[in-house]
Amino acid sequence: MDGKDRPDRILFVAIVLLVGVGIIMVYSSSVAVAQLRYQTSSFFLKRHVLRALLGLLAMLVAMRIDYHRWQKLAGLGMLVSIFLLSLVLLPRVGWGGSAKGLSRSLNLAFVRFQPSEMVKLVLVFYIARQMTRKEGQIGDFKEGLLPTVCVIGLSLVLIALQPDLGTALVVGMLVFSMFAVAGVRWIHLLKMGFLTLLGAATMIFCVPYCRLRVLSFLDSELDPIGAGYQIEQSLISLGSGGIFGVGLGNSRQKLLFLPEPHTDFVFSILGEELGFVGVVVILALFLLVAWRGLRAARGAADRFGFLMGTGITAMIFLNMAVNVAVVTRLCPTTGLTLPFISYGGSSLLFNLIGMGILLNISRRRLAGKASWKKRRGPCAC
Amino acid sequence: MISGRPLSKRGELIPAIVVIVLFSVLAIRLFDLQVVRASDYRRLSEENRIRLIPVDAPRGHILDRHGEVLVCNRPSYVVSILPFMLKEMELTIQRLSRILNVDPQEIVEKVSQRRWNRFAPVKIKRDIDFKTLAIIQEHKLDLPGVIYQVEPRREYLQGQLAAHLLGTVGEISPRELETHRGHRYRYGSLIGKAGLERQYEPFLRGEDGVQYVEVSAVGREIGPLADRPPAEVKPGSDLILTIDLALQKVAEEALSDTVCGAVVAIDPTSGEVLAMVSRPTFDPNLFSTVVPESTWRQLNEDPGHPLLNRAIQCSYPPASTMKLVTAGAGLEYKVIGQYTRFAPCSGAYKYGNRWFRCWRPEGHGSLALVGAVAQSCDVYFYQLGLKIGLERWSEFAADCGFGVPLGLDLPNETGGLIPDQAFFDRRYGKRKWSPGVLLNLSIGQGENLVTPLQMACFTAAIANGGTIYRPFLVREIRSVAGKSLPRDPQIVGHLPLSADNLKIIKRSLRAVVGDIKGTGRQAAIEGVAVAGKTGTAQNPHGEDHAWFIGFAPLDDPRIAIAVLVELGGHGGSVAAPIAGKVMEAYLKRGGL
Repeated sequence: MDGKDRPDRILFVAIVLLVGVGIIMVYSSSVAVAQLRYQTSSFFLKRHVLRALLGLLAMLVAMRIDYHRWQKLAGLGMLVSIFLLSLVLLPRVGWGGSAKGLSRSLNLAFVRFQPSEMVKLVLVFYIARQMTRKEGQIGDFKEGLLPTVCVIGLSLVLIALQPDLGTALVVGMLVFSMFAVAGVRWIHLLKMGFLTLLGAATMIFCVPYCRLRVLSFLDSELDPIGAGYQIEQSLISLGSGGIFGVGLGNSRQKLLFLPEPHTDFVFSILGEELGFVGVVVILALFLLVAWRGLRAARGAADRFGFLMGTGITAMIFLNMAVNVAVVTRLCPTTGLTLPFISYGGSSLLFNLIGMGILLNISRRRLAGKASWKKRRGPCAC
Repeated sequence: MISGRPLSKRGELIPAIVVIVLFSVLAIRLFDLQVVRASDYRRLSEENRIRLIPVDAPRGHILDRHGEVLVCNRPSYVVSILPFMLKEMELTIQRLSRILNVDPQEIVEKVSQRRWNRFAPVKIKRDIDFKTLAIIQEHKLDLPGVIYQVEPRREYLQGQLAAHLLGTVGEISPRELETHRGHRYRYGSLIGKAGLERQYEPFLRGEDGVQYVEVSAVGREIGPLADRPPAEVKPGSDLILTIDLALQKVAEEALSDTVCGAVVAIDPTSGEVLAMVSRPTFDPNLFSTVVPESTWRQLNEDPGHPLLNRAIQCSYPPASTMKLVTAGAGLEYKVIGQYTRFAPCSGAYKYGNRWFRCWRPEGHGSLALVGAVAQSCDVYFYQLGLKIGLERWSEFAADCGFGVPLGLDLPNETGGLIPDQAFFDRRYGKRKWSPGVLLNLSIGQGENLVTPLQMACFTAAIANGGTIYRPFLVREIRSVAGKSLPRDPQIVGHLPLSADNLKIIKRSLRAVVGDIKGTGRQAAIEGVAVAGKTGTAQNPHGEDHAWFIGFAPLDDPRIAIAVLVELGGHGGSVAAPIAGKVMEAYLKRGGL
């Protein structure tokens, strides 16, 4: 690689800034909870910093690996993902399975690990590879799409069965956005979308926990103990922040009024402490990531790079958008984290690896249009 | 199309548009929350800092008509957990469970059920004894977050006495909490579950008070808020019953503990219920808070169904007591006069090709109305019933107050059943039933069903000259502030009987108890003219049910009564003496 072959610096800086904000916010929002549960205010901070460093390291490593290598790993990764997702469903292996019937993570030796975070990234590889390989047959549903759709469908169902309908739907959105940019025909997209929504609707009707979440979204008084209460408190957090916020560290809501303030609802505390201004700055950072990410994808050397770049960017942005939509009560509670900022090892690690790959894709761009065209692959006319 | 910049428009434009749209939606929403509505939410956040500490209001007492206390409250200790103070949760809960003898899993469930409000105490065990309290006090340091408080506990001073009408209280269930939303109930609140406790819940409950306390950053209480004075507790109102404790005691004793049955005594001049007993019974004190599983199972699986109030929730064939309705209808429709005689009774009556028997195999011979009632001759009433006809008979019975609930102030009163033509058509199909059903109905057998309460009210109406009062148990609701809400008698209707015909019926009732051949002689009281009617209801499942209804004294009735003993046998020998005892006790003390 020559000297010009540099990753996108703006993207890099934006990511590091977001991780930094995350460290500050995790500390600020978890102080009270940590003090109460573990008698030490830095309990979550220490762990989060460790994970952030690990994640950044992983990002740096991924940045240096030629992204084409991931193409070869896609199939195997998909197999492993499906295996892990099935494992979570097994009783005793899945963590917390006994307590509430909800199991989203695996208990490996000393860390808890959420396979669905990994699956998101692997799905991006997989779809990018499939859509590159089947480029010529993309208009043909049976030949071009069906095998891919089956594998993806299986993993979506496994995630939904955890049961984590929220993540399943976000992953579904991710899949659709990749299909859309890959050139799948609209009519096929519409049909698959309809089927997915049908499945989701069935689940909402049949699984009490899903129904409760949707109902409590429509009427927050329905579940004043659980999700409804959380959202109510989240809105109070955000709203009481006002334009400039109550100041870093001054959140009142994090003092246990808002449950789990450092994970799914970290954005609410951020909004309370830093106000509308702070929130817009954070959103702008995400917008920056999206812009630079899409730009890198567009400038990628080949179709695989283009699809990977778009997919990874979509993954981050959709995750962010749904999380913010949840805490602002624009959609029902899903249990999705805010990328880079929320406390949570698996999501931080895999999001940063994704960013490393994106940065790697961005490297190819500076090589110039001529070489860019040349590298588009063997199928030029 | 394969190479070059593929999918150019789609690949570039769509993501950009999606990103911008999502970004805008979120930004607008946040602007709305944080700028437009910021002040509303700031106020809500302020309120979050203030803790509300609820103070339970004592429930109103329940007194008998002379002011004797039947139900009151006594202080008791309840052990609670303050979730936010809980350290080393598992260990603490383990320790506590051993001291209280409660399943640790149950404690965990209770605490986690309330995890959203970590500052409100979660009641773990109520009404603990002093020994346990001392142990907890001793281990205070090992039990962080465990506290004990005083709370009023319901006490039924007379034990099992009048259990069915007093009812029970218990901890509010999640479902009740849902239906009572907005009525100041919380987890752990007590609520009336049955009987008067349930019927008069809104009056008995009172209003819980609230103390406002400011909470510090780590959730500890700083102290009361200067600018928010506490909301005072408003104790519940007392109920003054129509029940006469002394009479109730007599009735409870008169109806043996080993039988199933009911006694209802009513003041015929007002409809006030003087005593109401149902057997078998239970101790409402068992229910005061949370009922242990074993107790529940025992009460629910008891074949005698002790929780059922047989005076109002069960209906029985009225047997010969119903002959008064048939007699009244005969007189009123002018089918008979008081001296009319039918074909003499030879022990049975042939209708179609079927023989309907009289209870006395050797027969009664030829009788007029008074004699037929006194000796309860079935054959006489078969013939009378046939002359009246089904439609007229059932209409008359309904006018006497049967077939619908009377509106006693207790939950779940049943209305019994007075079958009419439409009923038989529905049940058996048009013209698929024999007019012979009328023969059974006119002697109170067959499909018709009444409650002991209905029988008592019917008797009271005969006694007082024809007015059917709505029976009631609470004559006054007295608030602590001294305001009282007395209740006046209400009239439901009037017996469809003229004064002359009523006199004839009364005379025949007197003959039942007073005549040498009367079936109800065992209800007689020395020196008092008692009137009444026996009934022996055939029961396909076993022994006959014994009935007696009556009132006394004949000319100035002050008590009307209905007694039912399930599987008791003959009304005259089983139910009549019970009624006699109760009426005698009441009249000897001079009534009221």
